[in-house]
Amino acid sequence: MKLHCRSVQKALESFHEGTLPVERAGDMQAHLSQCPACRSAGYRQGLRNMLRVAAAAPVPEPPASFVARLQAAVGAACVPKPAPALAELLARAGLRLAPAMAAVALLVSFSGAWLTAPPGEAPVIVPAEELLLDDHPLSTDLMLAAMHGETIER
Amino acid sequence: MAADDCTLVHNVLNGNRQAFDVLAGRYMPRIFQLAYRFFNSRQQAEDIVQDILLQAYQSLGTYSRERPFISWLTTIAVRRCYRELRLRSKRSETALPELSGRERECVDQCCLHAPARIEDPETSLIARDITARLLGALSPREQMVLTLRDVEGLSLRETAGMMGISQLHVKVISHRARKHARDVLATMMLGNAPRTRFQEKRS
Repeated sequence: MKLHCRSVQKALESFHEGTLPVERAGDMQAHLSQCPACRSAGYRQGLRNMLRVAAAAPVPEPPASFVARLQAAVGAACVPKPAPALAELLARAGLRLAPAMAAVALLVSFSGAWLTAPPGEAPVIVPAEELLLDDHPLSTDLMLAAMHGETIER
Repeated sequence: MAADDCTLVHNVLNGNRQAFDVLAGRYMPRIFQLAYRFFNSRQQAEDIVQDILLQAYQSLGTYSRERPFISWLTTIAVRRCYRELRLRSKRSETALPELSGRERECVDQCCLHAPARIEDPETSLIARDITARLLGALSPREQMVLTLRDVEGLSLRETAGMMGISQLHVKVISHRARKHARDVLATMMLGNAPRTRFQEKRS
C-alpha cells in the first residue's frame, strides 16, 4: 500500500512502540527504507527506542581484584566520625550567625509588608512552572515562560 | 540474618571498618552499573566507584536514617559522575563520531524497524556504544538527565533529588536533551539532513 509521508511521520510513535498492525508496520518499514525525509524523522523519533535497546545491554561485572583494591583504599582512609549535633554546630558558629539573622529578619519584614498590601484586579493566571509540573502538554512558549519564571493564563 | 543498613552504618561510626565492607559489597554493583552507564569503560567506572565509596565512607556521619542508604549513596554517585563529566567536557571538544557499517545497521534496526525485531544481544551492545558516543555530544547536564531518566528509568522526582535541582528544571533539561540527541542521531546517520515542516512543527 502506498503511504503518504505525513501519515507515516504521524504514526512513527506507534510504530516504535510496536502497537501498529503487522501489515501496516511492514508498509511503514518499506516506506522508511525509500523516503529520505521520513528516514530522518524515523531517526529522530527512534531515539527512545535506541535508548531502550541500549539500556537492555548487560553491564560487565567489576573484577574480584577491584573489591580488594577498594577495601585497601577504605582501610587507608580516616575513620568517619558521627555528625556533630545542631547545638554544637550553633555554638561553633557563634557570633558569625548574627549578621545573617539580622538580614533574614529584615527580609521577612519587607516581604510581610508586600504580602499584606491590598491586591489589585489581577487576571486569573498561574505560574508557567505549575502548568509544566501538572504534565501540561509541552510547547516552546510554555517552556520559555517557565524558564523565565513568567505566569501564563490557564 | 544479615544486618540492616542502619546497623552497619552505626557499627562503622563506632570504629568497625569491616561493616563498611559489607555495605560496599551490597551496593557496589549498583553504583558500578551507574558509573559504567556514564563512562562506558570498565577502568573509568572502577576509578569513579572507588572515589564514590571513599567519599561515602568519610562522610558517613552525615547519613540520616530517615532515608534509604542506597538513595543517599546514589546521590553521592550521581553528583560525583556529574563533576567528572563536567571536567571531561572542559578538557575536550568531541567531534561527531563516524559510524561503521554494522553500527549504521544497528541504528536502522532500532529506529526504522518495529521493536519486535530487536532482541539480539549483540545489537544491544552496539546500541550501548553508539548511545555513549551520542551522549558525549551533549552537555554534561543533558547527558546526566537523559541517562538517569531514559536509560536508568528514574522518575522526575528521583532525578531532581539526586541532581539537587528542581523537577521543573529536570523537565526542561530533558526536553532540551532529547531534542539535541535526536538532532545528533539524525546528523550522524544522514549528515546535515534538512527537516520537513512537519518535523519542525512536531519537535
